Amino acid sequence: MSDQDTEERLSRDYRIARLPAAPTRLRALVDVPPNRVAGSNRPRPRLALAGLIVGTVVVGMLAVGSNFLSRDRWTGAVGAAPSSAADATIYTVSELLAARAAGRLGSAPVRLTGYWSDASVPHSCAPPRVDVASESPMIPGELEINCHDGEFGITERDERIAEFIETELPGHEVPQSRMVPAAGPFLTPWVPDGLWPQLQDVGRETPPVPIVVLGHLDDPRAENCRPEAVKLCRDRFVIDAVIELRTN
Amino acid sequence: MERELTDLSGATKGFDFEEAVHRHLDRAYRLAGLILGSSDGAEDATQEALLRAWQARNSLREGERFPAWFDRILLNVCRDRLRRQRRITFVQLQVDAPTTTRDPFAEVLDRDELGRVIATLDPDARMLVVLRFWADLPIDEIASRLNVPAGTVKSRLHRTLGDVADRLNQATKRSRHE
Repeated sequence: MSDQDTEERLSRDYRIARLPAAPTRLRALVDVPPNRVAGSNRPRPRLALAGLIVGTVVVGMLAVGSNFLSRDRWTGAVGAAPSSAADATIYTVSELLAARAAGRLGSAPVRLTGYWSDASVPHSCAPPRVDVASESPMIPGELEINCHDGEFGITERDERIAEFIETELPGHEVPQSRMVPAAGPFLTPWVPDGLWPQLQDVGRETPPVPIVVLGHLDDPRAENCRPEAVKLCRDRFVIDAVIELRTN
Repeated sequence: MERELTDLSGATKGFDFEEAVHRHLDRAYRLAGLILGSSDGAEDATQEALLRAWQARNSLREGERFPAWFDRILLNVCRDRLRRQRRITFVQLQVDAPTTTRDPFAEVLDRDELGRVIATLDPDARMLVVLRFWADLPIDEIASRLNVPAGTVKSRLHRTLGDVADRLNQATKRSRHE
């Protein structure tokens, strides 16, 4: 491989990388609602950073670095239950799927209950096929949850969303793995970055954990999915808040 | 910053710091994430850079564009973090070690051999690669952000790409022999 090949590969790899936007916590530090930025008579925003620094100096925590705003302390705020769910019904997974299939659920916020588990294991994901000559999006949209769909999420029954079973087969030096999905209804939701700290180690080494979340379907990012996956993405349940997570 | 004006003290007047940060935030977060290889690190580094930038906002002078100014602060934070990580852990990166993360920045580094080689570069070389090939910055802009002459950027970039290509070739040979 020549230097030029390396340059081209680097440019291509970075171009196709789908990177997340800054998390809400960071944006909240600046505290300027984007819809208030435009206009000449907008109120002078009160920069949260200024207060943050004053507070930091007062409590003398600056010396310990930037971790004084630890993610843990923010998680509650991010995951706090919003007060305005349009529908007070708490759906089970099968009820949600049925209501969606019947066209009764649009993008309105809904509550969902079930059991959270994470059966994902380290494995390589085939890189998506990128057709550079085509103008249609060939890179999986984030709501497609490419490669890991079905490995983590919410089940209706008290069971893990999937199990990886290893079988020793003749002719194979290493055990062959296959994934066996849950017997009952389940779904893999899209989880925003801000909520992963709450969920990432839950239900992985432990039994499934009862959970109640608030979320929505028909997320506008579905339009960024590949044409064949747009419906899958519209049907993707996007978590907005974790209302209850009974880890004990 | 079209509305930037400068008063006699040199501090930028009429410049909306918050608005500029808002416009630049996503890019800054991604830049930090690609350099540090983790979303947690990116969040912490961006937050620290925001604090430093807010404290130093009066040093933003006429003609100095906010993105370059903020990038310099962020890159310094990232460099410190990468060096600190190495000092504290004293471990060689295990390029073949499996990961369980879905961290999008770690995935970029773990996607293939090229990403894994990039992950082992020293902090300055990694920043150089990200600024050139992800941020798509010209040499003089990179030089301004890293506070080194353009010629140094060119030679370091050339050396880094050669090093990366060598390591990739070695990895290819190894995999053929296995």
